[in-house]
Amino acid sequence: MMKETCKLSELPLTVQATVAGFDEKNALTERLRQLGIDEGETITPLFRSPFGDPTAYAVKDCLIALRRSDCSRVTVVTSGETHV
Amino acid sequence: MCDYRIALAGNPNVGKSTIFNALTGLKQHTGNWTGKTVDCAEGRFFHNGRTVSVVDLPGTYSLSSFSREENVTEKALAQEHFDCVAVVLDAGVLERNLTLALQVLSRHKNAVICLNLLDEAAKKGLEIDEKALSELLGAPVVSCCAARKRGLKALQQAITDACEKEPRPNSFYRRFDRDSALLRGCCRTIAQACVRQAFPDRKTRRDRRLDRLMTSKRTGIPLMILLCSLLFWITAVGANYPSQWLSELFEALKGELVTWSERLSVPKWLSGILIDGVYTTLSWVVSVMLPPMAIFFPLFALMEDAGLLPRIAFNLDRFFARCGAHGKQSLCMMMGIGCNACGVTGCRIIENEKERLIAVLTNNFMPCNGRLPILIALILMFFAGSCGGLFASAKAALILVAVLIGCVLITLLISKLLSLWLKSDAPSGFMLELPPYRKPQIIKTLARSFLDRTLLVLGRAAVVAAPAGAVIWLCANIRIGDASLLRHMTDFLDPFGRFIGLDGVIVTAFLLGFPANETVIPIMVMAYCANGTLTDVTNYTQLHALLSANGWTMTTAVCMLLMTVMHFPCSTTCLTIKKETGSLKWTLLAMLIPTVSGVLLCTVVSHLMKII
Repeated sequence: MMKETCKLSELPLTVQATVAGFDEKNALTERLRQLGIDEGETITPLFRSPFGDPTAYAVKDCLIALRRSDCSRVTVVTSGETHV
Repeated sequence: MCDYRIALAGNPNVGKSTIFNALTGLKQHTGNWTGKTVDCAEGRFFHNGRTVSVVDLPGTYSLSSFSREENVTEKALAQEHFDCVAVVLDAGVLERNLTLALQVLSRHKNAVICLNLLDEAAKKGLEIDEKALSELLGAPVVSCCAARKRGLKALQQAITDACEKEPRPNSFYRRFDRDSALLRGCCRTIAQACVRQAFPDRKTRRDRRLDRLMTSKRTGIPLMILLCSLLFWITAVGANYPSQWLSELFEALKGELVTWSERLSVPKWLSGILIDGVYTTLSWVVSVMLPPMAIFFPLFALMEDAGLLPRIAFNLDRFFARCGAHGKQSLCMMMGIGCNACGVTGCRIIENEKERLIAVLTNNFMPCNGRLPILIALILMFFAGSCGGLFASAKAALILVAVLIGCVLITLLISKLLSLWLKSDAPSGFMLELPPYRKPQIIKTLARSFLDRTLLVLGRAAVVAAPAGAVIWLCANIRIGDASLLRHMTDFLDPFGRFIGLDGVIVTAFLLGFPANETVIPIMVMAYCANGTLTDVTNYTQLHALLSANGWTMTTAVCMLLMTVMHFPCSTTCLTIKKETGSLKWTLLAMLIPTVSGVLLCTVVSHLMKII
């Protein structure tokens, strides 16, 4: 797989990516940073809720559920690896 | 007086409260999810002749806070004096936990690092070099495993040592005031230097498999419903026997009491108040309310400790999102089943003001401790059928689950309406941490939760139900003109009660039950019984007979069920709402919303049922 830039919300399940940046700087993105979703950090969407949203992401050995609307503010670069 | 005062700080769900309980011997509630503790608790321990007071702070990811419960921590650390701050770290996710540790180290000279959940880290195949960590941080590091009570003496020693020593700036003191990039870099470097993946991680892989089962399209929702049904079924079946034994015991004791009061020639009015009023109400509350609660909540605590609650919130979040509410509201609702006052306080985990208000205003739609047994009683008497045995109890459990699903739907509907009406300040994010599954300490959890609930119900019975019993007896026996005070009241309310499918007695019972919903059924029974006491009504069969004799039909039962779920919160919850929202307007609204919707729904349902 090639390196591609996309929004975190568009990242397919189990595809690992690196956080590239945030669309804006506000309380929400600050909170994401505190949870470890930060520039240079790897993140992998693992599974979705039965109704399609939210999605659980693996970050720094933790599992964090995020809604699609919040993830669309985060840009990621796929690193070409999948995570099982 | 205490020699020293220390604080326990740490990320959410790293076991601060477990350590606090182990250190102080107190019994703060713990649970495997982020945001269980929202208020500070204080206790103390003795070590080497010193008394140390310990403050358990709500969990926080960082000292630049975002949610209300984290703000409590930040303020406490900034404004209060602590001789030492013990930072609790989850050894399994060290890097993320270090953010807070470094922030604390940069502000406090005296800090002790407590490395908790080492057993879980070992299961993940991680090895942590404590010596290197201590050197890099410039602070003492104590490893412990609080749930198994390991390493606590060493922690007490380290804390007292730190308190006694002259404060000395560590290597991070005053380094991270504004620079968050530097802070992140430091966390990464330290974590890389101290943590080693020694074995392959089996635990996380097993967790992921379980997660797929709990949250997948095909199995997620059915499993949730199955678990809830099982929970209620065990409650319904299990509660029956102790209820019966208790009521027989109370009945026998009452006979004795009556004999003795006659022998001692106690005045009629006094024995009336004490035996027919206080004792009978008390025995009803204990025999009918206690068994289901003492079975339901320990089992619920097991689910909580295993880490299932956040998964349920995860599965249901979509609906909450659609209704403009926060997914964490479902966690508050689950706490509301225990006690609405606790549920309202728990709403602090929701960061956004508007969403928090919605959660506070709608929490009362979840039937609490005092109302769940009313629902169980109604279902067993009117809906589950009289055939008895396993079939009826399974049916009762399913009906109860259906009622609870109904409660959730009402909550969602009202949340939607509120979110359309209330103005929003800022777009809020939804971030829910799904904690690792933890095997609960079954015996300990069951025993502690059982004891807690029993004490709680008994305490409430003594404080609220006993005086209420006396007051109700007086109402039923003080005569004005040709009828008792209670009679005047029920007659006055009867036309209104009948209009909404109930009767005057039920409406009176809900009104007088404002201090505690536990007393609603005893009040009803006392009002129905001509002689003003609930003499022979100690089990469901007798109660059913009494209710039917007083004109109860299926419609009455359905409306009673609706009204139990939808009426004003109890006095304690109202006070809590006032405290949490700081406004009389919202408190009144929190009373009005369920009452008005309950009255409307009951009117519609009763008239529809009459037509059919």
